[in-house]
Amino acid sequence: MTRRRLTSAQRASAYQKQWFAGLREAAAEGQPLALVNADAPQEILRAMDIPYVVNQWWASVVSAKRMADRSLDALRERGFPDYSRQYDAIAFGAAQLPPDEAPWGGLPTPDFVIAETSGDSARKVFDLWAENGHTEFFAFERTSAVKVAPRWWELVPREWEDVFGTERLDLMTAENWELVGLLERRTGRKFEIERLVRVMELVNEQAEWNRRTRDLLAATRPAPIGVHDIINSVMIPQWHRGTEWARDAAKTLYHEVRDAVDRGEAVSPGEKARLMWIGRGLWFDMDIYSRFEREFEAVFVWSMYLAIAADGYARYGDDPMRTLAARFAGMTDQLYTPGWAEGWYVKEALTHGVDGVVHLVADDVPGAHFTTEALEAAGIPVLEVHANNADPRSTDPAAFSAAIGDFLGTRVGAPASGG
Amino acid sequence: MSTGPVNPGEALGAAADLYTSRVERAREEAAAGRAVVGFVGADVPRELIAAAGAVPLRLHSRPGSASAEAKDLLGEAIDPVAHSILGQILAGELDFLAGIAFSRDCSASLQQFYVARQLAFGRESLPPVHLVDLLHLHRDSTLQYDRSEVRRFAETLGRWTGREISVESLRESMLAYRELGKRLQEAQRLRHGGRLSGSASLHLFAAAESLPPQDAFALVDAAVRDSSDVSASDSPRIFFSGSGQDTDVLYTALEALGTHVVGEDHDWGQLRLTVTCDPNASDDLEGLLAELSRAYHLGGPAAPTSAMGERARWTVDQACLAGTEFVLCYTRVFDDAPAWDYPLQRELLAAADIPSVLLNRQPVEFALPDIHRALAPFLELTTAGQP
Repeated sequence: MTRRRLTSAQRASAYQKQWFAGLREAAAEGQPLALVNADAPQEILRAMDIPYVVNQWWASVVSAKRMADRSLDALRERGFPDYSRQYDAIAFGAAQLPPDEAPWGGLPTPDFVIAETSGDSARKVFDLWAENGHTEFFAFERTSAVKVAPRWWELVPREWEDVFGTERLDLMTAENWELVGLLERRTGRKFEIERLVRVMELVNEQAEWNRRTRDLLAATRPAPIGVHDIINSVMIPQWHRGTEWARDAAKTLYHEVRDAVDRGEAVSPGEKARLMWIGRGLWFDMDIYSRFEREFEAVFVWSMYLAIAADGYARYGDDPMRTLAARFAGMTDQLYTPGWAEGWYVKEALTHGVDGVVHLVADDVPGAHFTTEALEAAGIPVLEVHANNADPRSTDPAAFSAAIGDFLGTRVGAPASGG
Repeated sequence: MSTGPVNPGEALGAAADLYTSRVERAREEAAAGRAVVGFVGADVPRELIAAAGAVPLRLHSRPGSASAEAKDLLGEAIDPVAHSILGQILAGELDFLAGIAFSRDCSASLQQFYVARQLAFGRESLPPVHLVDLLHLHRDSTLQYDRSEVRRFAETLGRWTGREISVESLRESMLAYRELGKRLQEAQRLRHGGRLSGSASLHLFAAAESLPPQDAFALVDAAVRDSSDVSASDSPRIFFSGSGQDTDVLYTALEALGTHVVGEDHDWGQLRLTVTCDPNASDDLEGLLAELSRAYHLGGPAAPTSAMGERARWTVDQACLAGTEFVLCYTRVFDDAPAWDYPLQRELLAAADIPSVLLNRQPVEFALPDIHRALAPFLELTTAGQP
């Protein structure tokens, strides 16, 4: 059994710490800072050299540092619901904590928060950021999938106009330009479309490297590298999308995986079961992905982070702002909307040859039934687990592990080997 | 779906009867050959349904209809009203509908659409479905999107009913709804004056959601006339904030506790009156559709689609207008948006000297003792000074 920490992951983590320290310094010197939700078009900020932090990444840091509980407590103490939109709200809750207790020195007060109006309450969380009179909230509409696209991954890179529909793209393109106007007014910086063109090229190149890595991992048995080791290597560069560093990090990851394959490395040489983790990362318990390798010789070979980076981001087109809108108008649909998502998960399960799926179902994501049903119909057993990925209070770790162990033994056919 | 002539003094009773038999009456109407279009959520333009020659029927929860299959399909973590409505669809209780339009007024409505659309691929017996994806950020870009959605819905209705919407039919419908809205406003004035109860007001609003507008007008008009001369209630005046009430059970319980529910900020009640459109805004169909889009775009603020400050100010303004003595913010389990709004509402209400209490994450079958406990301090306060 080979456990290795990827060089690309180590480099990414080191880069992230250095980058965040620099971001804090820049903010202290008066440089603008934005906090952006993952499904909002960060590329505009990149093109304008406005530093930004991705809300979900910061929530994952807070959660991994075991401070999610206290952050949510801080919300509750102010009278807000600590059981709602936790993934969106943890960053705001953490901002209420004493600065000397905050992870990584704390997130500086952003000048902008940028997010889409998802669900019923996401907008409320970002309203709170704007209470201080300094932070400005720019909201994007979250349009709905009035059409279905069962094989979206084949179409979205180039045929996105048909897939998402002209009206949805018209709206988000207009919103992109409105955001540009706001940023120019508030920062005095000038938006140049040529910069966005270059950013979009780099993002596509990064997605292409991610696709090669995903395809290589899908085709390799036994798995050379597990999910736990891949996530940092993929996600930190994802939040630096549109830079040479991020593109090169994706390329480095590919070559590192290629080398591991060539050397015949394996997470579990006697691999008995290949598992898929559907849903967000369990940030407060990342060891969950490797917990079953020794006892069950079961390896999590798939998470959405590399897979969506491979299939969900690349967009090619002549109009960079509209092409950018096409990246984000339906990002949620790709992952969660019935009629879109389930076919993709089945495709990924089959290409990765998985024997079972752990499906983390959060309160705020729809369509779980259809994903589970489609996988089961394809002959792939599914364990549904209902929990919030960033809120440790929603999960009993022992019961969670026991449920997965039972699932492996009874449905996947990988009983504990006692190793 | 005519209610027939309404006899003096009987309008409120007729509205109450209709309230408990909305679906059955719509089914009779469909059996008689008239198209009935069901809709889920607030942001579905009824004006278009009527203009297409159909009877609108806003779908609502019914006791015992939340089936296990509906819960499995939607998941447990959703406003349970959605389980009930989907349960009725799955049970075939709504097969008489020419179609069902879902709005994007809240995530529960949207999720119902996504589920119903998937089911419709495999079950021919289900009515056709359509999503009206109206959005509410106050920007021209959103308004343009809403226009395209209204236009798309008009086209769908034409297919469902076989009757294309014309400029004449739409203007007539918009005019009828405008007159109906004025009558409902008049009913609210009576309610503020203590002459119309909160539950009776719910019945009248529901009539406007389940009858052709002219018939609803006749009923509301008669109710207004009947109520004008009754003696005013001097019960403590409570304003209801929070989750939409598509049944009158909770209002009736509050009234049984001796309160007068004088207003609300949900869309089964007076929030509905924020959608007002001008039937004479344009001479062509495209212009009238644009006017309709504008009206729905500006409607609200509803908890799931508005900013905190916008909604808090609206609630406080309406509470003050109604002479409210106390505000109850009541949220159902998995209907989270109102709970986010409550801290600011409480702050602004306190500044207006109006006390409030939050009763949060309540089950569909609420516990009356919990409500009594929440209201007890207020009831003691308001009755202590009375002779």
